[in-house]
Amino acid sequence: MATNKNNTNIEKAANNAIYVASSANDYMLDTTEQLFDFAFGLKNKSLDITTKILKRGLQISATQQEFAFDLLNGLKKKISK
Amino acid sequence: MATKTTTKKMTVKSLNESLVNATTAAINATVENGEKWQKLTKKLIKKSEPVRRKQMNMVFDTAEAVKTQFATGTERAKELVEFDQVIEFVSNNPVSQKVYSVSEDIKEGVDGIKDTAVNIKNKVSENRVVQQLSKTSENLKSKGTAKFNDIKEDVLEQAQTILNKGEKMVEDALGTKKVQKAEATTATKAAAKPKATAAKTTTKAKATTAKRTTRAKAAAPKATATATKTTAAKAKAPVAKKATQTVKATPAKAATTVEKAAESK
Repeated sequence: MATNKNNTNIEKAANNAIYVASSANDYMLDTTEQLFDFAFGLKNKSLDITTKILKRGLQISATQQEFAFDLLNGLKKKISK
Repeated sequence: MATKTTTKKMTVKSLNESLVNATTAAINATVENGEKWQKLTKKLIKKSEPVRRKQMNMVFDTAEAVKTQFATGTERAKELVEFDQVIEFVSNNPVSQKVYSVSEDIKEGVDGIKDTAVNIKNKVSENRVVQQLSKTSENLKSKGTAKFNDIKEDVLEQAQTILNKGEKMVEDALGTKKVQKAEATTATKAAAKPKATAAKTTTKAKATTAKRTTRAKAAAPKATATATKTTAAKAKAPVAKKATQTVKATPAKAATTVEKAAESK
């Protein structure tokens, strides 16, 4: 009888430990998923902002370049006259 | 006793079974957890795909924009400088055409000179006289090195013999110095003896002169007698000194005689 009781105790302890470990693992999985979702959202937003900034910057540089060439053409015309 | 052993065996068996069950359950739980993690990674990779696409598009869009800007900039610069007109002018100008043709001629000439140099080099290397010269130079070089080595060995041997001779000479000189020192000591001791004899003779002479003066002055008045006594005393004092010198000189003489006897032996 005593041996049967001991056996049941060992199995119970093992099952409890496994249950605790699996529950902890599930919690970790949920938190990592949430964390990665949050990180991807942030990355998306930052990418949108950087693309906007880059486009604006390139537009500004293009206008600057055109402005510079227009100015040089005007000077040239004046000098040739 | 038999019942006890059977009960023990039973308990061990049941314990083992329970432990096996626990380990299998643990292994199953770990496998399940691993599968869950793999599923999660798959999900995350899928979710990250649009972000990566966006990033790539951004990079290529910026590169294209920079390229177009550079192209427009070059075109505008060419228009500003009138590059095409300048090139047309230069290409149609007879002076530039002449310069171009001359440069091409120079290029061809340089190529021709290179070819001729290569041909001359090949001819020279193939010439028998040159080959013989190279062979003789190699022979001369080998002979010269051999001769140099021989002379080097001879010089080293001669230097060694000279060194040995010098060492011998130094040793001999050191030996002769010792002998000379010994001789010098004997000579000094021998020289002390005649001096002593000379002192003897001088003391004798002075004593005789003192006696003569006393005799001569004895005839003089008594007032002067005291003076003669002092002179006689003065004359006798060196005599006593010289006598002591002779006494000191005699042991030196004996020592020199002993040394001479040892050398003769």
